[in-house]
Amino acid sequence: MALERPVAEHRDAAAVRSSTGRYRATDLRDSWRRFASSPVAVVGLVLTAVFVLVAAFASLIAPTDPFSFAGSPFEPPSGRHWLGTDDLGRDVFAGVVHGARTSLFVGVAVAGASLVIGTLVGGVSGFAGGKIDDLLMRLTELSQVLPRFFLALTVVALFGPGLTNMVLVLALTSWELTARVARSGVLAVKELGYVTAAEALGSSPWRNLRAHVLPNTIAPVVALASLQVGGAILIEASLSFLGLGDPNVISWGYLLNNAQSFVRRAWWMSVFPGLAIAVAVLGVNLLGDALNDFWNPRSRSSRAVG
Amino acid sequence: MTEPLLSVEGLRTHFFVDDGVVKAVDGVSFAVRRGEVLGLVGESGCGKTVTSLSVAGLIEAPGRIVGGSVRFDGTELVGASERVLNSLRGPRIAMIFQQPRACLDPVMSVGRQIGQALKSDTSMDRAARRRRAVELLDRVGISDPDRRVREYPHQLSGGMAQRVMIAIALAGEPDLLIADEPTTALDVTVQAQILELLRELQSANGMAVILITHDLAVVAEVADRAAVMYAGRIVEECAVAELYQAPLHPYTKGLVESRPVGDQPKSWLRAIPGSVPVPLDLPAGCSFAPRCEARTARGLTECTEQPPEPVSVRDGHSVRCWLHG
Repeated sequence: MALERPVAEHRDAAAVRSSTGRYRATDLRDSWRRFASSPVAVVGLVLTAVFVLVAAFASLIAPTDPFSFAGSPFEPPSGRHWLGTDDLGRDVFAGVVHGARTSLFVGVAVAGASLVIGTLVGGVSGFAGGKIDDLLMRLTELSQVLPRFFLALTVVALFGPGLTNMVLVLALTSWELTARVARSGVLAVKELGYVTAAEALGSSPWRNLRAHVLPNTIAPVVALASLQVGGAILIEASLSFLGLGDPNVISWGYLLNNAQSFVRRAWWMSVFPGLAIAVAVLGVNLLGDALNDFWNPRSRSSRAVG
Repeated sequence: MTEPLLSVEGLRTHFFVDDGVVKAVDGVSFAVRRGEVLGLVGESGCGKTVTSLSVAGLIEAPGRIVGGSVRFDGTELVGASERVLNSLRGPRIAMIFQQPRACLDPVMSVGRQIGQALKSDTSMDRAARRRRAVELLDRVGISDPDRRVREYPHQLSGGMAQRVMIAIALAGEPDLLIADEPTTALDVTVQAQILELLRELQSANGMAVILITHDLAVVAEVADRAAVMYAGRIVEECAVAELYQAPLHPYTKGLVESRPVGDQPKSWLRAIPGSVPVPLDLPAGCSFAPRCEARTARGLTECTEQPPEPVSVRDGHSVRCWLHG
């Protein structure tokens, strides 16, 4: 019988090579090329990678204990102390490097928790509808009206400064936006043809939600989560800056707090931790944006058929 | 005669909207035997799609099946639990839709979507599902299935998307395929290919097909029997050949006569006067009465007073019309 001619001619070598059956390798190579074609993606990825690597190998990069006295107070940046020393003669470089750990941990933990809680609450709420939807959304609104920063302040004041407390408070108060985004996405997607089609082919509601609805709504949710990594880092820094951070854990906010009184005398004490915060947050946000574009299949334009 | 695979009796599906009750399907009865293709014909809004969704148990609020029965291979589907319906949909009853591309998940590769339909068969692992997906794509006439299996819906043309949809529907080897306007969104040459494919797969698998369409030519090409729907009821049901040679209902006659005829290139097409009644406000008698020229010619009075019941005129040919009562 007469067959349709393939509409898209595949000029690119990777796709042709893949007809030999090596799916995975070419898939990955393909995806990577597509991802790497965007400068924003590359910059975001590089900055995030540096951030993560510094956090992971902090003790190798800066073997000095950030709390130990490494030289005389207020040494300006030099060959011995790249970013200078603080009022107690502690190495600022070591502080910035080790502080990355704290920031990364807080950011990822908070964003991860918000992603999981928010997607679950929002997804179930939008998909189930009716009374369940009402209940979950009222709960979300309740969480939304809690002032996050002041709640964190209160908890730290009540239970003492500690990283775990801070992460818990931030995680439990940052999922409501994720839930709303996930819910609105689910509401839109569940009406689409392919969800009915999947149902018509025997997909149970739970499988439908998992296999079709959530993957089609997840891109903005993940982008939001990556913005929350940045947001959480900033809140942690703010709290520590106000002196409500964990005094036993080095963090960028702690360094800034310490630098407050010496801004004019030792600029390096505040500039470098500040720069670290800015660069790390910028990096995760750019990466989040790039991921959002990348996961949107409609932006896979290189091979699209009109 | 053996028991039909699907028998629908007096099916009534109503939609409860703010302005009242829309009787989208109001007393539809038909039967489909194994291996038979039934063409369900009618114009837009006559209840064809609602009928098919009711059969598959996919009616959602504000719609509800308010009466009648749908028996599939001995199981009553009206009022059946979601669990029962889910176990039938896919392996026993499959559906394909009008907009093939809208019915494919944009973020899932073709292969994985076919794989989803195979998941109910737990004996297959991932690799086996992949192989089966390639086989199915090959089966529905997609060239280079090894490559296509990894592609996403937006990379397919409309015709290919419909082939993929058919492949997904066939994955469970269903006994009954409900095809809701499968070719309407496609251009004419692709339409012919898809119909040919459906016919070929139908005879190879021996599956029954309900083909829903507004296109009489499609029915002529593919179906064994035809049921003509008008305003939520089936007004005539017969073998396809009889539909063209000896239509009984004035509406069917009108439809058949309003087709272009090849050897009279310049003649005007005949049209049925008037338009389809508003479903919120159906006439008391036969719903076709206000447009019926035969009624005015004969001067029948029952038509506007009481809806006619289906009458079997001869074996396998029934009509709902006072002219034949």
